[in-house]
Amino acid sequence: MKQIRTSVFVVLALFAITALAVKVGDQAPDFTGADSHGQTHKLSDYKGKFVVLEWHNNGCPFTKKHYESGNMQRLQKEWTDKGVVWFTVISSAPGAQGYVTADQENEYMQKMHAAPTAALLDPKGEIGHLYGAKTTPHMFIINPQGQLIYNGAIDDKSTSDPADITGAKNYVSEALQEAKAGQPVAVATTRPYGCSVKYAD
Amino acid sequence: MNSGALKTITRTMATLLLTLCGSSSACAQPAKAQHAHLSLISEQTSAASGTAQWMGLRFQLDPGWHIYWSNPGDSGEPPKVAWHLPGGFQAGDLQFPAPHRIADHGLTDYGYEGDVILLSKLTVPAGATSNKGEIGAAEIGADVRYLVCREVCVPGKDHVSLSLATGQNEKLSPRAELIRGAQARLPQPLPSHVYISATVRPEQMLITVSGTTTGMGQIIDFIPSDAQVIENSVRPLIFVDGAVSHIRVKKSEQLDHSPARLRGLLITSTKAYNVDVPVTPAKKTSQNASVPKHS
Repeated sequence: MKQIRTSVFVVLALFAITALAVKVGDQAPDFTGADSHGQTHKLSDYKGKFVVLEWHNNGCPFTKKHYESGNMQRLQKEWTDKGVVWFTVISSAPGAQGYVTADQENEYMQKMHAAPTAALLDPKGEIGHLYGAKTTPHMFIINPQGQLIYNGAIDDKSTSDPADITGAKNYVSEALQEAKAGQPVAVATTRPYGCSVKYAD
Repeated sequence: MNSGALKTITRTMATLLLTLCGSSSACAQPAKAQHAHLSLISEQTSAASGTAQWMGLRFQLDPGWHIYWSNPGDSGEPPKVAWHLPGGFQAGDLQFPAPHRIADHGLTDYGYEGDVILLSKLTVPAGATSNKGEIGAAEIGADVRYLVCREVCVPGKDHVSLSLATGQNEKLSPRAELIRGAQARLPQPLPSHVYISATVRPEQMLITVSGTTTGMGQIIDFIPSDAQVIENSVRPLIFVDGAVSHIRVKKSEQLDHSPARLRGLLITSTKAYNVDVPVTPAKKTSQNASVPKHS
């Protein structure tokens, strides 16, 4: 009996946590974040544009798959050229894998030829928890009306092997293409894959 | 050592790794044998013509490090193997023992720590005696890619191999005992006199187990075989009502349609059983639609 009560409590607690995660169709929660150049970005200031959020950890093998192959940078370039706002978000806690100072991130982006609109430094995990970001990478897309239209994986090959990028169906590109053409997003929610986001415990 | 000190050390290692690998492409390629020692073992030292036997891909992991089940859960990736076999030989799909839940920064993964053996059935063709009945050796090789994680994840790549004597005679390997142990840890089919059904409701799924369940052990968990079906971090609620057990699991937030089938492992205090049942909508009038009150 005691065990049942404990389980009920645990389940309720977990329901409460998971309930915070934002769902496709919801208004995307507003946030303010500082980027690696010290500039502040407020999501609601970008109303009228598509916004992509990409959770990042430069030491994670799944992140490396998409950066060392140039896949992520290609996506960033392609979509920012088309007017999409792209935020790389780093929610690793200080001391944890993927945590970077502003200078380290700028050096990394330069070396990797990364081309996001900005890299938001979120060492307290506030933006990460607000969106329920689980993995690196974990991708979110917000439409010009401020609604979440995609939440999930970058593509349909959930491995850390760069050889799997060729032939993978890129969910982010598909969703952006469909949404920009005024069509509904066919695959709007998927299971994100990668490393756990290294939040402060 | 207390857990605080361990955490500090892990963090320091993570930082060190980051410092070493973060800006260097030297760490881009999977490294051999980091935190995991791999070996290939077999039931027999022979590959007798027209026989079949189990091979085991053994991972001996450093303390605290883990690898993943076929459904890794919220993060991670299962090991993959590419076999190199003599002509006519066949290696079956990897068979995974029942995994454990692994908590990972608020996520739940499914995997293994310590010493784990993944099995594959090796089929030896008739005529593997080699031409003219000579005794030779069959070389079995495996290229393995895996992800091994603790606080951080490290991709690993290894080649393991085994040399088996061809001919007519079967010869038991000293490793046969390990293979038998691994076989015993594989999930089993449900006993034929046990009935299982699954119904779906907006937020949850309810698995009902009935029939002659004595001998199965006490049901303690349900682990899904498919990603994106149930919320991994929400432990199932288990209600026992006489000979009938109800297991309530939370549907995945990423599930935008109800699955036709629910596949997974029913974990009991003694064994793991394979479950693969059709999922039907819950009827309001049905008994299954309501979870019994606590007694």
